Amino acid sequence: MQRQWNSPGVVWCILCGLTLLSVALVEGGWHRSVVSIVIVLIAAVKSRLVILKYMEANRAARHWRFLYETWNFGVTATIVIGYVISLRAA
Amino acid sequence: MRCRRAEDNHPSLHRYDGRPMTSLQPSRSPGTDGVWTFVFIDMLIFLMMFIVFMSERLRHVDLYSVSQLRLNDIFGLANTLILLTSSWMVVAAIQAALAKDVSRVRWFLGWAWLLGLAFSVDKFAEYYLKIHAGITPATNSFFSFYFFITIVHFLHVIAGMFFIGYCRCAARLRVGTDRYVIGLENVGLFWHFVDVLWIFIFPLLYMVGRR
Repeated sequence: MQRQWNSPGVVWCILCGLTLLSVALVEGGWHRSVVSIVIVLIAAVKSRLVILKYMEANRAARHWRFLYETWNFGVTATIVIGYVISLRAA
Repeated sequence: MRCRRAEDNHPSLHRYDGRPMTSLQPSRSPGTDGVWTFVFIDMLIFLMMFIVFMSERLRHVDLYSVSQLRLNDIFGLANTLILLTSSWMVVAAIQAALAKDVSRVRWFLGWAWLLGLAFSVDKFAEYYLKIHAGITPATNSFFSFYFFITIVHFLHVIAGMFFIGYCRCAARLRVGTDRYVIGLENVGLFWHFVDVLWIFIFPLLYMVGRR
């Protein structure tokens, strides 16, 4: 079961599914501000999957995993916080 | 003496002489520290671009939201799916290289390269349509960022295609050596980084806050 989850093909299916979900949410006419935040969070999950499963940061030295995951968090926070502030300014 | 034996087994110390070498340790770190460092520094540069983009967006919220409507997210979606598939092909090529299967390494790297080419064609088509519609980097600050960020990312794609092409050409002679596997893992790290960047660029430019 663990091996199946780690299979690159399964990871690819999850990544493509999440991508299509993001576009469906945007095109679906849902509440714009909520959708904008959700799609950034989906992007963060996708990025983390690529970093851990494809780049294999979980097999690399611990500091690389820490730095790459921190970067992922930093980009997500930058976009979400920037967007939330823009909502308040508007 | 014991210590020296451990050093001798380290993959980075193996000399390439065209013959298959000893198997790499399964518990070792993928790639080399130099490439992990290079990729991380490059990621920080893109993080700074994203911070500048978001701070500039705060000053012109309406302009950015309206400008986003002039982007076609089908291009962005296609490029996302292309890069995700290409990343998968590179992972499969690394697995084939560990199994010392030359034909599968060349097959998967060939597909990874072709998907990089598909990304390039898609990007050129998008740029052509934008410029044909009178949209240039001088149109407004949103499009300055759009062209700058996507062109810098596109240059990374071209560099990645060069490395993938080189690994495919070298596969026939070098698959089976530790050095080739480590080199291919380094190329994989770079290619996945290009993929990770696009995973954020697509929502950032095409979708977040669009009206």
